[in-house]
Amino acid sequence: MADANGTLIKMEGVKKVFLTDEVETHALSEIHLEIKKGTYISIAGPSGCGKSTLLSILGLLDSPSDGSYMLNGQPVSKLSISERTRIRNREIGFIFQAFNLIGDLTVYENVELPLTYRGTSAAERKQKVQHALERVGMAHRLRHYPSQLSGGQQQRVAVARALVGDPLILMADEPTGNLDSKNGEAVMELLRDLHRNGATICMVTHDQRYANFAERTIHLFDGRIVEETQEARVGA
Amino acid sequence: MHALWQDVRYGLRMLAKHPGFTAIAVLTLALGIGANTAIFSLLNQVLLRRLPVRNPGELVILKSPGPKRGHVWSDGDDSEIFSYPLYKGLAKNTAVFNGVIARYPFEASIASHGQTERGSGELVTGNYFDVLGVRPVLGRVLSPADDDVQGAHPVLVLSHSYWTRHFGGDSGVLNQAILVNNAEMTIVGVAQSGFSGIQVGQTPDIFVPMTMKGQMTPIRNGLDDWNDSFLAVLARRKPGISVEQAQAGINVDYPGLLEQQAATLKLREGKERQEFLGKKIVLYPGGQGRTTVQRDSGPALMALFAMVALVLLIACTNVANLLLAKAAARQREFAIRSALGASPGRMMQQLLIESLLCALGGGVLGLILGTWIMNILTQAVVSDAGVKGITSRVDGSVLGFAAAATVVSAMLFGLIPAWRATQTGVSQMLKDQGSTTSAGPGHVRFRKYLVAGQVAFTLLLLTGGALFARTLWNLRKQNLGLSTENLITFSIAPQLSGYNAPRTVALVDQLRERLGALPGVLGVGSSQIPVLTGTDMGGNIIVEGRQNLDTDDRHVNFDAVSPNYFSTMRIPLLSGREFNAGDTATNTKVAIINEAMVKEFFPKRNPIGVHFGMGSGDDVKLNIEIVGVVKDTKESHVRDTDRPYFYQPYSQFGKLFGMSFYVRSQQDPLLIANAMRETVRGANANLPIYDLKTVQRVVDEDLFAERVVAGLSVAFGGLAALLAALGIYGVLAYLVVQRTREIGIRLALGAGTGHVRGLVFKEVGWMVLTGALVGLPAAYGMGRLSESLLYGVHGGDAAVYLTSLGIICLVAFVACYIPSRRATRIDPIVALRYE
Repeated sequence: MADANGTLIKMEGVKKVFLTDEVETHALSEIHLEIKKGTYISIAGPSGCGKSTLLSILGLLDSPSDGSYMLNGQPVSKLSISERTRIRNREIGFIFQAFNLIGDLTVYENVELPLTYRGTSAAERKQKVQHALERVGMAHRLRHYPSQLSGGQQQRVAVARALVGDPLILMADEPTGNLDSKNGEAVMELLRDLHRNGATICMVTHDQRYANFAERTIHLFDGRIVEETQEARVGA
Repeated sequence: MHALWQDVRYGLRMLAKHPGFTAIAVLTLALGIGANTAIFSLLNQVLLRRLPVRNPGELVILKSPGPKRGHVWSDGDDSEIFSYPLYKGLAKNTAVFNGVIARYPFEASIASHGQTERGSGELVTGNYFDVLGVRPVLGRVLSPADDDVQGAHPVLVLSHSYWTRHFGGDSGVLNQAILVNNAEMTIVGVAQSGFSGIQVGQTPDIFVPMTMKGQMTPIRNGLDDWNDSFLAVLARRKPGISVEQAQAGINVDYPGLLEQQAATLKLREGKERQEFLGKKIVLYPGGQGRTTVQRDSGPALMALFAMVALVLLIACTNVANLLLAKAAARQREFAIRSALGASPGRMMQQLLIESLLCALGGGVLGLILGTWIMNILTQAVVSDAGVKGITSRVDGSVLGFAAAATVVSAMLFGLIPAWRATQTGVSQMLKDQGSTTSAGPGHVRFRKYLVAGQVAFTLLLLTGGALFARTLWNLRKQNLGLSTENLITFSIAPQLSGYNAPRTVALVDQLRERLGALPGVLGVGSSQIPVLTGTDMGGNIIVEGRQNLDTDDRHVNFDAVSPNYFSTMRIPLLSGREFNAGDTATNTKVAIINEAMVKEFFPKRNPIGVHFGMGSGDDVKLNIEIVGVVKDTKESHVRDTDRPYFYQPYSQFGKLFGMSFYVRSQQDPLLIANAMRETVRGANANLPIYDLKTVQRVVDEDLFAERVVAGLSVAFGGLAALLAALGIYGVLAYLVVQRTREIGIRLALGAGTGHVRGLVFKEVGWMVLTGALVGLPAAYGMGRLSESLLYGVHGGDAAVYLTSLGIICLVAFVACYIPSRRATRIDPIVALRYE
């Protein structure tokens, strides 16, 4: 649950330092960020500015070197790996640039995966998977394998997988990066629809056109938030 | 040719570039090829090699299945043994044979240059060398003229190996006189190199004319006796005469010869006589000579060869798996080559040459390893099993086999990876796309099938190893009926040094007394038949009150033993008494019988005081009184089942052709071995003693085949398990690397370490289960097929299969530990960037 102000994510003074062979790389510095429930936020910036690192920390794939991170009112910056895994599974849905579907699993099995790790019963899984695929318009491709789908279709399945567990927030890392413009537009429309229906979305993109789909954009440069813009119009 | 050379150079460079892969592949193949070469060398020398004589395919072995009468000396199959008069009759046949030969092996005490030593001799008919087509390397070979009158031609031919070993290849040996079994003999020639008689495992030092048998085996001549069978007979078919024609031809003469023998026997009219006269000669291929060793050791050798072939197959599977992983990593290289115009055939050629180079390394190293294994095996076979003439020499056949194994291995492990490497589409390979994970499921699936195959083969080998190990264990736990603790034995052959029966008895009495007086000696016994050496002596008996028994039911084995024999051997006396000094040649003949004989002949009777006689017919005197009953013991082999047996005092036995002594001491009996030698030397300095060893060693030697089969099969099973572990590890490690991204996705979606570990275990579980589904039924079939080699365990023993399955599961678990650990440590962020 978000707190009384509706704040879902709150980061204060978050830093991320990578140490390699005596070289210290400051990937993120002094990140202060607050995301309210139901927000559609995009993180923009040039390559190497720290967008993906920030998304990894937001998505609990990584932990900050310093600073605090509260997710849904809970401090999560110093959790154990297994705790992070549990929260990731229940609270966060991921959409990747490269779709990251598992080639040996069918569409149905790919979407079912987060629920399997959660221990959801088979009947409930079936119902949720069906529902998620219907939301993205892929219910007719249940038994297909990823290799039998177009890029756009694969990304829709990936979105269904992200949605299926009813997460608090969807983390999308360059969701259109591997798609042509037509399919890219379609995926962005899908995300906008999800947002309209109440989903909280945090999207990384380097493409300003797609950043504009979000109601709020933060701009990163050299690991710092250098600018934040609020869009008057949401979407095109 | 230029392209070929280019591929060879490139192949060598690739092998050098990946020293780890090359070392593992070469070593794996070397183990497989080496073990195969060693077992093949043994198999070749024992089972496959033909006699080094002229046209060995024309030779046939004569057998006459059916009832035998009289005294039969046999080293295996009684039907192969004929008397000398019968041989002479058969040898007259010139219609279908170009010659019929006979031989009899004997123990020889050879004295030359002031030294007496024990050797092996062969009494052969005068036409022996001529019919076989064996030439002299020095002097002459024996001829029919040396074999016409009994005792008239004291000449001999040396074997080539004896000549080089003992005379240093000196040509001055011709016409030298040497003493053989106390008879002066003249050396007239040396047989051609490589010829060592007509029976694998026996390498006679000297060849003596058959008519000298009276001098060579003074206790028993038997040349004029139709009912003394001791000769193995072979014949050379005339060119153009088939085996069937030859068999029909010789059976024209045979009934007449049997009639002549029957006239000397007092056979009752009716079934007994009809059966005897109805016997036929059956001919068997003789190109390999007599097949006694082949018959005894053939099944075990074939089982070992099958097992070792499986090891090579597993090794090849392992290397194929390694090559598949390597080929997957080189897909891009082949895509580029293909894009540049290389045909699939050309690329396959390159990969096959790499495989061949790898196999060549394995073959060369395997040959060295095989020779080393063969050295160990040869020493054991010659010293422990008494099979002579087996060498570790690498000859053309062994080289050819190693070369064939190398090429076949290269094809086995190289062909499929090479073919698969050239089958992927170029554009697909050159496109670096990563939208989905686990690319090439077919490739991985194939590798998993290979490992499942390895698991199946390994299960076969582990089951075989377990069955043979259980057999050895059961045999070792077998109650021998006697105690081997601190018991030592040796043998003497006084008759070969000119002793007659009374002098032999006196000598044995004297030696028993002197040996018993040695410090630390608890008891001394002696017997004519050495225990557990596979030697037997038997005959028909007629028991008081049981005269109506069928002939076949009256056959009993027996031995001549000394007073205190049973107490020394710790064979329990169940009733009556042991032999004592009062049981002399002039007193009442007595016997002690075993429990099995009581059960067979005296089911509801007290046998003590009952009389029986030896021989057949109505005029047999029932003059032997049973004075004691002892527990059953293993007399001939550890594997023997209990059978009727009786013992007589050696003083009442008559013809003593040797004596084995048994001395039990308080401490390690080898400590008194020298004192025992001195004792015999004190009685007669020229009397050689032989087979001085502990009785435990005798037991070990009797179990030699079982020890070799169990040892090698367990070793092969262990090697297979190790290779399977490597195979499983290799595939899983590859799978984890290949599925890094997928595992990363799963981790990102909330999979815990248990889920990830489960992924790896699922893979290994599939491979083990698939392997077990194929391997266990195959192992069951193999187990049932090898039941004749087993003891105390049946081919379908559940415990054996569960143990094998347990071992393979353990091996799989160990093999997957590191890959599964690695999988759980995958960092999802790194993995998601992984291409």
